[in-house]
Amino acid sequence: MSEDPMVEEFFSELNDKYYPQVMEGLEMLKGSDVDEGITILARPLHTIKGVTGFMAGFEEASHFTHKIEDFLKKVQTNEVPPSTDNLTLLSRGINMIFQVLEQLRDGSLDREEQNEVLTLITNASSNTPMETEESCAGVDIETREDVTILRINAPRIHLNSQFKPLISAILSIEPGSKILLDLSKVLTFGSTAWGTMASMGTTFKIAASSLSPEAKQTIFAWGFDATISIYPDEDTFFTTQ
Amino acid sequence: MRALIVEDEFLSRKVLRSFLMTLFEVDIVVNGREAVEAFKLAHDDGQPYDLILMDIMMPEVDGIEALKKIREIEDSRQVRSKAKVIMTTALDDPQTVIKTFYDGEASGYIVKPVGKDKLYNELEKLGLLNK
Repeated sequence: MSEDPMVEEFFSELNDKYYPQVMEGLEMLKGSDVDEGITILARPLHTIKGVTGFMAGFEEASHFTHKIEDFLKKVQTNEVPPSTDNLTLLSRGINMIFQVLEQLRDGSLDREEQNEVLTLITNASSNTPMETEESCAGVDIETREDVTILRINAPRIHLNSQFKPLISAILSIEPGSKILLDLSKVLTFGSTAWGTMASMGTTFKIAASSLSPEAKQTIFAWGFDATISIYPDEDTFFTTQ
Repeated sequence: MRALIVEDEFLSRKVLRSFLMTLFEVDIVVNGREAVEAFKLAHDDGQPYDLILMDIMMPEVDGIEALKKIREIEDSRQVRSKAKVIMTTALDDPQTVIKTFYDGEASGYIVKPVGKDKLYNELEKLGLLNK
């Protein structure tokens, strides 16, 4: 199929020039040279954002790249701390730019994963280091068999600041892992918090156990049980695995 | 806020100025060489431009070359917040568009004719205008 010359030229540059640069930058983010890695990443990302904004049908890639570029700048200026979690999230977002571009080219865009990353970025951007440290104390992490159990100690999970520790804890887990949320100490769990958990359900296999009647009512009312499996208690969860 | 229009055609200068004059204090130059000079002067005076509208095809120094020089000056002076530069040009070939973003770190690109809506949309994207 013949393509718009702009699209052809862009993808040629993308594969020959930007992709290798991005790979080099991402490798540096994993090491000790984070600043240099960010500098290397900045130019290809800016170009992808600008040129895709100019290509019919690729505007969404431009918007997505814009958000990732903003996050990159926040990490660069230390507005967002360059913690392992944040750098992992940044790498994931950058990798996703290439995925979005390919999906748009193939006409098969998956917005769910995009939205999940953007939600995580929004949350990470509004986090301060102090808040993270403080709020992580609200979640205990345990491993049983191949499942990571997150035991939530706060009685109410509604506000951003209340579910951020949970997000931080999930982000520290390998994508694709099984996660069980133990809600035995939680009285109420808001729809926004459930929505955030559900958006992460495409990357992790998330289940929840020991829900209070109120927490259960909210998850069913909003239909988030389609993504998050519900179990009466921990033992039931493990016997069904 | 301050804006610099870099444009060699009289009519285009007049139109762009009319779009910007309610939002910015506007200066106008007619080629890339003057643009670089104006940029340096504004910085030296401690009143850098918030926005530069840069044509590409111009006599003496073209827009891409001028933009590269401006970025070099910003790098050498370790300017943290770089000027937002929108290219306003009749050129829309892929190589020019890509080169402008990659080499010049342009902030936006508008193919002529530049309409008010198109320009204001770009300004909004760059956070220079709240509609």
